[in-house]
Amino acid sequence: MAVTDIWQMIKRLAELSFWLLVPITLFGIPAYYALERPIIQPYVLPFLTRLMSELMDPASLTFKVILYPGFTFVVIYAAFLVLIERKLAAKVQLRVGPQYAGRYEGVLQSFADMFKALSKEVIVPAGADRLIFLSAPIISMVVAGTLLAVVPPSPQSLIFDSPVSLLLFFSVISFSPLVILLAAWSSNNKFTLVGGLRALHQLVSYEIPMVVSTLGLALLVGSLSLVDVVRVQERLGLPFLLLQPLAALTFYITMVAELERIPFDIPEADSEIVAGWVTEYSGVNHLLLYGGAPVIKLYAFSGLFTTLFLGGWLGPPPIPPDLWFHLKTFLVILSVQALRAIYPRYRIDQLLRIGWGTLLMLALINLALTILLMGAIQVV
Amino acid sequence: MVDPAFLLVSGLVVATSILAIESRQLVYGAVNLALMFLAVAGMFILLDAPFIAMFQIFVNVGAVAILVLFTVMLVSTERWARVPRGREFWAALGTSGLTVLALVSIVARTGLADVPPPPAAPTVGPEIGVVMLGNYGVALVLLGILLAASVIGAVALAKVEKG
Amino acid sequence: MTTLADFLTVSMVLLAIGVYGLVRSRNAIRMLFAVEIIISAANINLVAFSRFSNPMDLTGQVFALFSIAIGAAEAAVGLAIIILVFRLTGDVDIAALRRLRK
Repeated sequence: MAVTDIWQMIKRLAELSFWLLVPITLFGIPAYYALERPIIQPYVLPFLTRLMSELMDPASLTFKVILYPGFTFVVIYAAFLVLIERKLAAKVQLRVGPQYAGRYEGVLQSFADMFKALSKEVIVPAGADRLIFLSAPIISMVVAGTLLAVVPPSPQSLIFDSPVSLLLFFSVISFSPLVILLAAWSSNNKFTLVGGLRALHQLVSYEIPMVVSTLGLALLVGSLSLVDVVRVQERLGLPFLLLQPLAALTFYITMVAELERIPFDIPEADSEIVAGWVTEYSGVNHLLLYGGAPVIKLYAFSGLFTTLFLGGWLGPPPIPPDLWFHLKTFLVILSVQALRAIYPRYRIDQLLRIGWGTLLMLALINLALTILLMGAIQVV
Repeated sequence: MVDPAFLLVSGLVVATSILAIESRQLVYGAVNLALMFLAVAGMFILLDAPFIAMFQIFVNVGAVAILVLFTVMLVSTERWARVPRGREFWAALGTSGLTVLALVSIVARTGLADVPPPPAAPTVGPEIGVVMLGNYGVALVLLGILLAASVIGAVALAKVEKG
Repeated sequence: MTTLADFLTVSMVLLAIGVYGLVRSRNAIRMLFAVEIIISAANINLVAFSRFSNPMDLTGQVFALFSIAIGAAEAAVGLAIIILVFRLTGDVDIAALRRLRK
């Protein structure tokens, strides 16, 4: 059944390209001659050549944003991360996981899923607010993409670093509950609204321990810039995981909660309220909201965890700094994905109690210890 | 002559604030309020205050706008709120117009239009922290007490009484 | 190059829009939107003056920081009151609420 839909899509694409052929020849041939004209040539051709040359140059901003470590790289990485998560969960649970798409162990599964999702009809529920309903997945991807701008794989392939990078990361993360609430409400469905409100409570509650746990670290570094954090770790010779273990633990747990992952996935619980706040989304939108944005956020958060607590891109010479960063990030991602296969789900009240009670207390204890430690070092 | 970034950001601020007030659906107004906060954060960045901009996004968009949206979803009785045009329209327009006129005349008389911006570096956390904890430490503590009081008050007000 | 007058103009226009909204709205939540707009206008004003008169003096920025925080607290309490009123009377229209008092 899936195959006929793909064939239908191919047939529709062929039809579309035929109908495009007529205006392309009608307007394209005169345009081709017009390109030789002196009016258009100074603007269009230099722009195109500059775009091409910038895309080839690894140090230019265009390359960084579009290719690596920006959008293309992360999207392909995310596709494989979804596959790796499913395989990992399967192996832990003594299953095999996806194994049919692609020759070896189902490596092309993500792309097969992508084609399937693209070929599905996009259903907007009756009575839903069309504008907000259709723009919520796009805004969610925009938020996830903005996070990529501050994650530093190495000082050379850094998109953007400013003295407030860490705060920028947290500020962009604080958009997520807004987008989820809009998506949930605009579906015109009581269950999605409940799921959205639960997601809202969870995300907003866990923002506080997340920020407080990094306060001690910001105190030690003296700046909110992520490059500075790694440089201080380089100078100290120790990753902050050893200097701030409580903060690392708290940040790790709040990271899992902010990503709405098991054991904190009550808002999109698979067996509770249908699919939570994502219920009414189909096709492309479902892919973006359920598979795209969360995985990109997973990469961004793991990158931040690596930068803050594991020493970012630092490591002995034969392996380049970028690769160190990606190795460490991959380990963090694997650990977060492994949690999925192991732990059961927390109830919403247990979840909120952990967030406001245990984690906040741990973060504050960490902050107090850091202040005492800094005071003691200055006295000595 | 005028900075295109400034034109864009100030246009966004004004447009989203007008839409926040005038949009028929309350939810659109709340979303526009969030967008206005975002645009105001853009203005802060243009004013070389990135820390204030991030703080604005974190507090106003991440908390206030969500709170407002949440309340709008709980409270709105009808989806489309008709706002009839009546005497109040002219009163409102008159009030705001007179306010702007008064302020414009004050500013124009002092000749502030010709002051070029002095060179400045973007101010960030450590410097603001020094000023805040140094000169305004007492105010900071009082702000903390005020926030705690408002949180307790809000919870006490909105709590559903048992029985 | 943008001068101080440009930023002040934006701030004043925002103030005008906020005052207009405050006078004109019949819905209590919209009045809260208008109040938040006025607070944002004041914040832009504060930071602009701090930047243009003496960039080394951060008083304006700290003041804006406090103002944002207090604005958030006030919005929280205001919304709690609105929810309470809605729960008691089922209406957020201030004209209707005025008549209820009599």
